Amino acid sequence: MPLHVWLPDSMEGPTPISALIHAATMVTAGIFMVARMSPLFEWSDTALAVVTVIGATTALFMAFLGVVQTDIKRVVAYSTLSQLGYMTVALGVSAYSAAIFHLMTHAFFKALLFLTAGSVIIAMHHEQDMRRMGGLRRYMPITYITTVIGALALAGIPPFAGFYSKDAIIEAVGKSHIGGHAYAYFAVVAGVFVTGLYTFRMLFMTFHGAERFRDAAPHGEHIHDEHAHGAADPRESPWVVTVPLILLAIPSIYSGWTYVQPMLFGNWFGASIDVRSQHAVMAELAAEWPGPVAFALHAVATPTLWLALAGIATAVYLYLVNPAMPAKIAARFSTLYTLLVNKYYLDAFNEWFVAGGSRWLGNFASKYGDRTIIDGWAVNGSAWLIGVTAKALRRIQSGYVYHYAFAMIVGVFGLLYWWGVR
Amino acid sequence: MMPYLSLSIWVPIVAGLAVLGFRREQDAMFARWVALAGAIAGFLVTIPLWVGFDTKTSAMQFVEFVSWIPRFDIHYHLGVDGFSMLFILLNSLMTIIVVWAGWEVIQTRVAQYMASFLVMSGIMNGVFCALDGILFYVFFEAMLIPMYLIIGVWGGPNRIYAALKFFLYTLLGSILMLVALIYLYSVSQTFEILEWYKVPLEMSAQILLWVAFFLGFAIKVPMWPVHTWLPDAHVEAPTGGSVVLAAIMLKIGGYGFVRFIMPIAPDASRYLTGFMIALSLIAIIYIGFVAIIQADMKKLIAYSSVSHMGFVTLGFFVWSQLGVEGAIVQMISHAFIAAALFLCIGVMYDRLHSRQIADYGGVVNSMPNFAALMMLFAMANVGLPGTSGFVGEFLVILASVKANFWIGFGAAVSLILGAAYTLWLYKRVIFGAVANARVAAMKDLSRREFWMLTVLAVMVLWIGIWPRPIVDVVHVTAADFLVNVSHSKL
Repeated sequence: MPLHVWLPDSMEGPTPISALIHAATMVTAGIFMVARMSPLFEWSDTALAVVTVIGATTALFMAFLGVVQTDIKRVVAYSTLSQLGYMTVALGVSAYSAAIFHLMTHAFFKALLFLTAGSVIIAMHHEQDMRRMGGLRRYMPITYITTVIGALALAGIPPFAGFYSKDAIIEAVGKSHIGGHAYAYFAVVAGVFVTGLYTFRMLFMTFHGAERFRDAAPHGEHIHDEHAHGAADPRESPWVVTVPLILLAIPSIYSGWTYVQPMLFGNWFGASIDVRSQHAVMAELAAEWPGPVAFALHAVATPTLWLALAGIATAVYLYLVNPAMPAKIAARFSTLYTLLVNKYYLDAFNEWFVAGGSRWLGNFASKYGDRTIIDGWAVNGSAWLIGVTAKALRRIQSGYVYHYAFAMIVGVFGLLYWWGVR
Repeated sequence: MMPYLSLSIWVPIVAGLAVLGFRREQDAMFARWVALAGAIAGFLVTIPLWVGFDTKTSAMQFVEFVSWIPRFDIHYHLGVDGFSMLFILLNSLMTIIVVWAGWEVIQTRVAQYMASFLVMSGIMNGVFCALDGILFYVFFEAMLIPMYLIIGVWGGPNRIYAALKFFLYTLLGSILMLVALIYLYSVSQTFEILEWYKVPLEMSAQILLWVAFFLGFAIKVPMWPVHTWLPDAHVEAPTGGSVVLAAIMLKIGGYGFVRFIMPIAPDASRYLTGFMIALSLIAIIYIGFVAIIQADMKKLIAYSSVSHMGFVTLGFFVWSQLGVEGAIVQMISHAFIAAALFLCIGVMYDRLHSRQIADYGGVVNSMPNFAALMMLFAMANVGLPGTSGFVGEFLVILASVKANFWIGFGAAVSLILGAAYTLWLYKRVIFGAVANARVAAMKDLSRREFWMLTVLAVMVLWIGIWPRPIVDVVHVTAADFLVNVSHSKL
């Protein structure tokens, strides 16, 4: 936020590319860079506060957008933005190791979710709209189970990977005293609820409920490729698709509890991360670290887990029990809904202000600066001036002797006056 | 030792005159081959300059000194240092490419066309290695004649206006320069440029000299606000003319700053640093915005040239080693990139006879090889790391940040503008739906076009990845130059 607008749009690319660069590697370069520059950021509380506030805003507000998206890949994309927000908050509160840890677990479960989305999209003949899916769990068991694992990890349910990394971040924010920490704590905790909601909304819309893909009249330019078989049942994807899903599901389960201790509280990062003593939230956490199992049990007593479960429960109610409800809510809060569907109008603002403004400035400079002032007045103007002057002077050269004689006489008298009379 | 510099001047000129012997329509093929042989010979004689160049000295090398008009102490005095040597190679290489580029495209007055380019190439080599003020001036003015003919004879519909504008604009600047040269002779009794570096001058004299030289070279660069001849000249010129204009002729302006203005009037140059930086930044930013909205591809690249040349003048006037080296690298790099982009536009123009962006779209579908090569040049124009465009701009931005953060910031903004106008151009022309049946029927690169662009692509990547040989040539010259201009002449 607010420089995120390119990411959801780049989901137009092929799904494996999205999984690799938009979930696991490229987008996290920013997180890596800040962590790598920790010796620099540590010296400015202002910079850290800015990082914290931007991260918190991203974490919460991008999660809201995930709730209203209907394109399955875009839900995952906004979820990625929201999770990047969590990592950024961690950087802001000097929990660099927690940020990198979340980066790692997130890479597993988010790449998994992207690939399951891809698997679904193939089964749906390149349909990405979740409103035309539903009930797929019967036809695609492997995709379904791996998606559930990914969703649980993303929502932060113990003992899945996302729980450890996300909870570590939330705990670290709670311990921090950097500027904006209260707002950040609120945002990341509230974000947990929204995460549970949009994740399971996606799961339920895709895999549960009515089989909407049957009655949905395919839109006009329905793509007919080798996958298209008309009204046949959707089928599970071939093993080239499912094997990576299983391989990614495994670390989505276990990488949290296995690596949390060495990465966060061991000497994993050595001297690569530099934290000044007044920001040492991770050291505080380490002091009260009970071990991975106790940490998971302890979560039952914290609001975070219950918020995540509440988010899931809300999704269950809205998309399984009472599927007519979301439309009513959208109608009731139409202003808010419009705002979210239009992604806070940031794209429109960029299109209008940045792109339109640049073009306006360019047109203005080109029209008035280059064409009117420089070329019009200075360049062609001087040519015109010379032409006009020459035309005027040409009249003097009339070619009539008596004109010259007259001029000469006037001149002679003038000179006489000058020297004689004066 | 062989007079390599004289050879680099006169081999192309003699070859050009020889080509004129094949003026008849049916001899066109001979004209092309003789021109190509002349261009290659012209390039070969410059290779010893590169091989034999001593990078450890800033003194003039390959010096030739013959009396020409003894009464006024005018000499035929040639020599190159780290600033000028590279441009002679660049110019000679570009001449081959230009002859090659016009091979099938030019069908009328082939001999005259080829001859103009060869003669111009020799004359521009003379500009870069002349060490006598009058000799320089003769080459500097003579260079206009072939370019005037190229635009005026082989140009587009509005060619007469463009050719006249080009000629009068540059003449205006160079006339004042002649006055400056004569004034310098009157105070020093010599036309030796290197002697003028040592002549003490009062501040008022320096300022007047500065202004006189400045107009001459600023128009050539071109700097804002005397840049408006360039878009017109580029649009009307044939592809080869645009290539030479962008690749070599603009560089003479930049070269003039380090050969004349800064060493001859160092105190005035320091006094006017703020003015120069302001003009450079206006060129970089204002012109960047103007480039975005151009509807004509050649105009867009012409404005992009002005914007990129802003880096050159900026690099010189931050008075640091990095800045001067960056400016020279930027000039070399821009020569290859702008030449390549103009050739790309030429390739498309030869097929569709339009330069309007709106007439294109989806070219990648019919010309995939071309699209790939143009992508590289577009990225280089943006200044992507790994291409030559990055090296020069990075050095100059680094130098300007060291001088003043906001100057560096202003210069860095242009990278965004550069990406905006270049990538938007590329997107509209190359990608998207196929615009019309004529685009669909476009043939991909011929072998000739492919190799011509590939040579440039290799140069762009080479300088982008390993700029060391070029920086090495400039390094000592730039260091001694900065020491030299730091001494006051008051």
